[in-house]
Amino acid sequence: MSKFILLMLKNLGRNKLRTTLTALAVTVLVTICVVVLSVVATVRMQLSTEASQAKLIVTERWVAPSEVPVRYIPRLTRIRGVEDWTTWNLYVGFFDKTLRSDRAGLGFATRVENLTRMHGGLENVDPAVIEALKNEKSGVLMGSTLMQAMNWKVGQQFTFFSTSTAGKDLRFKIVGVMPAGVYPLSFFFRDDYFAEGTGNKDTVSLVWLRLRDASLAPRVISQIQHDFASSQPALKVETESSGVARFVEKGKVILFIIDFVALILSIDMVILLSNSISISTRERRVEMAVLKVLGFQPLHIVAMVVGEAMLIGALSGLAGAALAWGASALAQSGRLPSDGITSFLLVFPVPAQAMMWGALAGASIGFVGSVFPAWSARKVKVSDVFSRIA
Amino acid sequence: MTTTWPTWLTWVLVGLLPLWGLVLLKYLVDIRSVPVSYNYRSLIVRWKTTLMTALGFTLVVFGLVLMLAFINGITAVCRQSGEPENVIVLSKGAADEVLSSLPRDTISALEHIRDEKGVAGSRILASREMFLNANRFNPQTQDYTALQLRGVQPIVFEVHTAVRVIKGRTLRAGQSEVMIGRTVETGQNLHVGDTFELGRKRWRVCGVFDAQGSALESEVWCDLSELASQFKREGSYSTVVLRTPSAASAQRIAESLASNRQMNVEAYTEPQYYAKQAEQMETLQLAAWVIAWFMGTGAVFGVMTTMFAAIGQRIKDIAVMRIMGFQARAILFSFLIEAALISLVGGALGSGFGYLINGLSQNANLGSRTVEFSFQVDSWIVVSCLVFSILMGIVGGLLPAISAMRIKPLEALR
Repeated sequence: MSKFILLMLKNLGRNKLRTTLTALAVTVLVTICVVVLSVVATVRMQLSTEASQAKLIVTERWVAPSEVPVRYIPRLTRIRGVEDWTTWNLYVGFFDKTLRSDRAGLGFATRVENLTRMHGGLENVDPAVIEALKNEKSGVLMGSTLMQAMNWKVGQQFTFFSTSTAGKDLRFKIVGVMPAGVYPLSFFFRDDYFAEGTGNKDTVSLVWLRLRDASLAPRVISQIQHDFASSQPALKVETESSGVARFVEKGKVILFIIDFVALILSIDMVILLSNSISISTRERRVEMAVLKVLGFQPLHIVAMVVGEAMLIGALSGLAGAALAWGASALAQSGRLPSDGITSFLLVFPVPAQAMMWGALAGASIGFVGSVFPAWSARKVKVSDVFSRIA
Repeated sequence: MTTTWPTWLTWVLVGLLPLWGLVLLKYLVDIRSVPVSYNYRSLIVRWKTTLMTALGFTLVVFGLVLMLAFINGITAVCRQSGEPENVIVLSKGAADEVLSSLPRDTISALEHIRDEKGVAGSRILASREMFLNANRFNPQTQDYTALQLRGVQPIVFEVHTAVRVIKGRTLRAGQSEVMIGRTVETGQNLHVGDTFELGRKRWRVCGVFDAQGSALESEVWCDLSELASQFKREGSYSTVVLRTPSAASAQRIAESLASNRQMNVEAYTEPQYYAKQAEQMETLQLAAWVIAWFMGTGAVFGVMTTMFAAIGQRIKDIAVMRIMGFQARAILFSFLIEAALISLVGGALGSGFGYLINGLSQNANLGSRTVEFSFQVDSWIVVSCLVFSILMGIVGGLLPAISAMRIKPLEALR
């Protein structure tokens, strides 16, 4: 086996230029494929988590922006099966007076006491940060991408110019940063500070309810719908999963295009590899004939050609995914400018596991791309090849 | 009898500019050039490899056409939306109608505004409007779908003059009835005479309107006071739209309102407002080109592999041509043209396949609203994609062509 691998490596090294060009093509395509897929994968991941089935979103039934009366909250949280709850008040505006679109932001006024329990991705926020948020009324927990875009540090103070509550601009102090990729373009702050600063003590944008078990969701939903059917305003309740799905539905065209581009990239890689391997096998017909004379079976020839393609695919896939991961890590750490393309393509972090998937995908592409060339190489007739040479 | 030169043919010829440039350069620097038929026949002989390499370009160009047609479609909706004589007034800082809330005193002031530099006696109309995103429960799908509601007064038809009732009739004040945009009729499967539940009332569809392809066609219009009382939004208005006598007047009023500190509002002419809504497309367009360049780079390496292999197989041909008197530069241009031809075939196929999605309708988000748009493959997209494809081909062919140019005839024939 080791001799076989050594033979494959030698074969790849024989035409270094072609091997390099093929590897570079696959590397580049895998890089952009991983970056593009990281955007849709992150969005879709939100839909498939177990927690999202056990969390309910309660909003005003008919219209948005929603205004759920605060007086409803005790009734909602007393429903059997509700384990924990929190509220959000959306606070939209700008980080400076220029009101430029790249200075726009979205804040969530929420309860601090269970912030980490109620928000997926914030479980590992340093307890000291939460403590600081409890002690500092104007404290704010910032999204990582926002921090880089504004070039701010923890401890920095800023004024947020609100458009959702016109004229009610609030002054904040940054006490911590959220993990990379979690609410990257938003910030969390205390609900009591929001109520005091804007004067809105009567309504919240939405209420989050965490259930003991996801299986309780249908019963709790139907109870809320029943209990609040004749209330004014009436309420709408759905699981986090279906709420996010409805939100994603609005951007389905973009998600479809991204998926389609990823498919095109994959097919492109197969074609490139297949073309390269085809050229290589055509040039090595004599070598194949010699191998057959030496006792190699047709299956050995197939395995050798497919193995070469898979090897080059896997290595290039690994390199491509590593490049994507590196670029993402640089973007997340603020070493790449956070405007323009970074704000769209590298807004979500590429996980380290992507390298493993990149290598696997590369190997698979190598396999698919080399099946036909390998099959034709297998059929090389010794007599034909040597008669031509003669 | 005169025949007209087809516009599309002009654009295709423009799209081939890099190829024309290459051919021109070839004849400028080298009188005795290798016939293009040599390259053409070489490509035919190795048709499998040629096709595979061209297919790489086809996919890249198809992907690019798809992305650009999407952006083009959304931008077209924005371009068609808004009348230049109209000024849309929002609360300070609001970039979108959903987040705008104008107080009563501001509304009253806006209703009495005059254009000081305008024609004396010309009247400015003001339409108070309330924009809300509503959730309509669909009993058939047992799910909520989004409706964009606009509460209006009768004056709205004098302000939004592009709106025409195409089925049924206009709204009656104080009634629970709605007019729906043309795309709502098809998208939500609502028709004149249908009723649906929203809030505590059932609303009857009394008419369908057309707004010349603008974003208004994705909206549901109802009586302003009915809407406000139904959802407890009395006394609050999202926007006021002012109808001025001319585009110049609208521009003046928008500027004067935006700089008026006492009013504390944002004011844009409607085309400016919708252009601002379309700003999000700029990032997407940039992303589309970045993705395309990466894909193109992959294709460049692909064409390099093919061309190096082709040259490897034709070393003796090249040596013979050199001995026959063809200069090294002629060989260089010959192989560059060969690479460009491959990319041209791929690019043309990609543009052709991409053209199939032209006119395909979909819904997409624009700010807080959902609009219906259609993918638009226009001449600019076809030309850009062809130019992009041929340039990639030339870049990919350059190194192999240089290596072909440097072949030493005697050594190659030995």
